[in-house]
Amino acid sequence: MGNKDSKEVEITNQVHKCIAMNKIIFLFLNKLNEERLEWLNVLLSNLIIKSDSPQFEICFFLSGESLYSLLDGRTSSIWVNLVSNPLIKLYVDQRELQIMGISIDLLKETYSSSIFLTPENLNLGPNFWEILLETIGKDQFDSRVGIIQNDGPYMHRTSVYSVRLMDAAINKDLNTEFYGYLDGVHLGHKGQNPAEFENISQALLDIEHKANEKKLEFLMLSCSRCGIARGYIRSHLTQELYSSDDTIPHYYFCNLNKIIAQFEKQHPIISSNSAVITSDLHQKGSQPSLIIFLTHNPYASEWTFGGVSFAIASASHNITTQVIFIEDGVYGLIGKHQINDNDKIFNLQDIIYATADMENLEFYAHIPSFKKRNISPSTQFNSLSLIDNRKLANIILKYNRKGLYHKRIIFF
Amino acid sequence: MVEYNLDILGKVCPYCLLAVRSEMKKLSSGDVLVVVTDHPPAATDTIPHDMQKKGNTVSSKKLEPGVWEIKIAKK
Repeated sequence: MGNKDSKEVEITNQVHKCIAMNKIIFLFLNKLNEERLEWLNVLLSNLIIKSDSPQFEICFFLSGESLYSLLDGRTSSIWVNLVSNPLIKLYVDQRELQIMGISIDLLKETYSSSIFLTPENLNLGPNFWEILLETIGKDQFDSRVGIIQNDGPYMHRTSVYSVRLMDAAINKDLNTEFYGYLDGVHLGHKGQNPAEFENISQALLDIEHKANEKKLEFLMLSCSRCGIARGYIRSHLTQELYSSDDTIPHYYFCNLNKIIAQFEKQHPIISSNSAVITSDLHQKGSQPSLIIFLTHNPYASEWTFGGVSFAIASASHNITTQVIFIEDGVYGLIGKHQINDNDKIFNLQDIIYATADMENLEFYAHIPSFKKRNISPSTQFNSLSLIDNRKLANIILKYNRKGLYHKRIIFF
Repeated sequence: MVEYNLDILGKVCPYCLLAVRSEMKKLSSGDVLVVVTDHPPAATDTIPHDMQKKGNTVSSKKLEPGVWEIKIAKK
């Protein structure tokens, strides 16, 4: 009890001294399971109690499926632990809560200073997405924001959230860039006509129209590798920007390198499960680094290949890039994958081997994720560093080469 | 000096770079890898840039419109 009290005093003192020079802003729209919340909880505790660490304000923005974690018996107690820390704020999309019939009144009543319900009625003030952008902070934007979409429309509601976020960005007078990746390239497919859902391609056109009216840039770039695989590009790609017959106007396919070139700029880049680390010390001209969490097993979906490809392209652009195998992502690191040409599948372990000495690229594997699955990493990876939660916290806190904090975190 | 060939026609990034990196690991110093690719970013940017950064000697020429040959001499 004595220890707990002293920790509480320490935290309270930090709050009084702190002018939140740094912010970590998490956005979660997909399912938030017990494992992720557990390691986030330990990670954030490590960040907060580090006496030599800069002061952080930590904000969680929850909408979509992640909202169920607030009431799920497996995760709700972790949220109680998180929001009882005065440095942590939780922003909840009330409109989505209502759609799902979820009430968090008791939690909100108990932790009223940490939990904020965004207005369900748009006439009552800024919406969830506008508050997210406001929280990131106007100074961080360079008048621009980027949104990566990895899921296709209709199967996943994240496409609806992406267009809401882009609409909010235009409302906030931000030049807005959409990056379609993996199944996210489908958002621009023309001729969409859903009977029961919001028409996503029409929403993109509406956003473009609004941006034009406000004389703002609205850029729609999608990955050509993903577009070729999905049949959007059927001729040899020779030009830098390719406009498919199958997509809405001004929706361009390009090499991933061109999308990554946008990451050399300083604007925040947000995806459906992501984080932005910002700093008041942020200096113009500095290049944000990128942390990619690989959370899926390697071959059942395109998530791992997509994430690794993204990381390689990022490192090729001299962006400091750290890849962290975590949760089911660690399955990619067990045994020796024996894949031949007929399998028509990439070999993740060959990729790690081939890029082991690549500048600006570091691979890490999360020890607690192995332990939870009762598995061990293969010994073949010399370039892979095994990390616990404390080291993970250090990676997130670590200064980049210019001594700044601005980082982008994307969960694949 | 031994010359090796790598045909990555029809492949796109990041496969092109990964394939070249994998092959280069098998070569000895002084060996040459001749890569044929029709992926413009790989031919004009990604592969030459990455290989030069590693200290290798790189030269490239267009074999025909849209097809490049890149010669990489391992350091």
